[in-house]
Amino acid sequence: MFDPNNIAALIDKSKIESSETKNKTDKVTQDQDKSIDLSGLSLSEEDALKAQIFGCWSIPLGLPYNENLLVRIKLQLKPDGSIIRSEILDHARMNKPGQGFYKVLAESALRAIKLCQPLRVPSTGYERWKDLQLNFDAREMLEG
Amino acid sequence: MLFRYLLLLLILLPIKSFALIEVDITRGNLSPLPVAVSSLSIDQKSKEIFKKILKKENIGSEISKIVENNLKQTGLFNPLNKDAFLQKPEIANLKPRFEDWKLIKAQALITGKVTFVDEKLRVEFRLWDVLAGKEMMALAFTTIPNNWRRVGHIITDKVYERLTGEKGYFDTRIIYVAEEGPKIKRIKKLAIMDQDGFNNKFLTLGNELVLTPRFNPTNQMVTYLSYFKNLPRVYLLDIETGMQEVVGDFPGMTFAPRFSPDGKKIIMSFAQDGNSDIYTMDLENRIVERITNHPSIDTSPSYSPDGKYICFNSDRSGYQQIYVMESNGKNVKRISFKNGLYGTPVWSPRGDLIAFTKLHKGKFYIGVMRSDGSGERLLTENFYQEAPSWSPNGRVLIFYRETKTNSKGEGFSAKLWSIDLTGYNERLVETKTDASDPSWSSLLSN
Repeated sequence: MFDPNNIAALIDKSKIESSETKNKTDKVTQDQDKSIDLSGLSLSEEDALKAQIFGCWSIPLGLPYNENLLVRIKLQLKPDGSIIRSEILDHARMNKPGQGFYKVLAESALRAIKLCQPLRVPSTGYERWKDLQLNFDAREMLEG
Repeated sequence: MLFRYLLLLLILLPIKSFALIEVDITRGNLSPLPVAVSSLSIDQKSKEIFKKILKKENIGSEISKIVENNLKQTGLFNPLNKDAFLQKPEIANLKPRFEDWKLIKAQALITGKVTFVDEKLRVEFRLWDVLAGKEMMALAFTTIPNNWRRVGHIITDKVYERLTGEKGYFDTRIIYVAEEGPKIKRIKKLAIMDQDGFNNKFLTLGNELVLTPRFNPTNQMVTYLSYFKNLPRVYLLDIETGMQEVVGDFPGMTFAPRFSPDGKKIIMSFAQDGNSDIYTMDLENRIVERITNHPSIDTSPSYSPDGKYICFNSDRSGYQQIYVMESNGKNVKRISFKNGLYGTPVWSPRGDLIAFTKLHKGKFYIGVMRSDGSGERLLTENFYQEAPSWSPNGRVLIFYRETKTNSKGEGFSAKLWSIDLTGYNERLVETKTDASDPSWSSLLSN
């Protein structure tokens, strides 16, 4: 029987599986490593983007640090790094009772993206990164 | 036919697709959020009327100063210098030119309008997200003109809640013991003020020694300890009417009466037959119930916000430590285990943390730990400081600190200080006299 509550469980599971896969690929040989370069951003490209957003994101300091503080935002970008569309992936959580802090966090992440744009994206390979997902996680900073 | 062929081609041809790239952003900028607090605009007629009633040149600008000051005190916001503002308040309130506010690096903007309507003060205010270019909140209040300071505090509470996700603590009051005179002959009075130090009022005359005032959950009543003919008495005081009532004379040393979360009981410690234990008194029928019964000294009880548990300090292990028990006195568990002596535990209104004073190697600390004793964090260290009391949102603690006297016995002072849970935002709370034993009220506008 279809159980809507189980969808969340399935999503969580797929997330764990994908992270496990990622862990496995950490041990790939140099030859295999080429495929990673083709499909993702290089380390230096990723670092440049991260450094830019770190400077733009004002983390709301009043957030409860013992809660899940992950906001995932999917972006559609222009070749120059400016934003065509931004979408909060867990949007439904914003209006849930007791999750007021999540809305605050999501808004701060959106402000960071707006403040930073155009994003520091690679000059080539637009097809690779025209769709990008940013996972904003404040836990590390707030637990400090 | 051609359509079928093309469809087959589309299915069979390898399409180069890329997996969605994910980038983890785990660091950010912890500096306070830049906020522009525009003066509240006011028409000339209203301005003249308020000037006559409140003796303030521009009440719109005065209210915005309160908001600005409150936000600055939190350490979470950086109100920008008004000299840099490009848009006039009356226009900004109608339609902000977001480009102008972006130029001065504002991320949020507060605008508003004050008018005199039917003998009352009407305030409208709006909070804008400058980068998204949208209104985040718009509210209006109408009240008697004398409440103008409270309006500033209520606006701050709303803005704080919208931008941080948790309730504010600005429309609140602090009751404390005002102290004057030399250390050996102090005059101590009960005093009350707004959380920002304004509207200070003395509640007692100073004829008798007063100690440990504590608000009840509705803010109307305060319980405190006073000595009458050298005997400790627990009093109830109605702040609005000034009516005072003796709850009881208790034997021996009586300490720290405090309300239960429902306001129906007082919990305290007193010494019967020379042994200090914890007792409650039902305020309706005045029945006293013994909660602890142990040959050690049990003092400083404080209820959890749901009323199910009590934290207190006791020297039953040989040294003064913090314990938690069920509200009927059962299942007593020690929760502090690090080096030093622990005292004055107070349960956070959020229920997650317990604040305490710690004495270790001659220094006093104000700290917090989880209610199971884990995660101890010391927020501030000093020569002498104690008696933390929580802001209603459980984010800030107010306490008092005394200074050392010199060899001639000079230089003594007692002042109120506040510190937030990060431990970085420590501030002196201005009072007209020396001050000790603060207690923070819950939100008045709730």
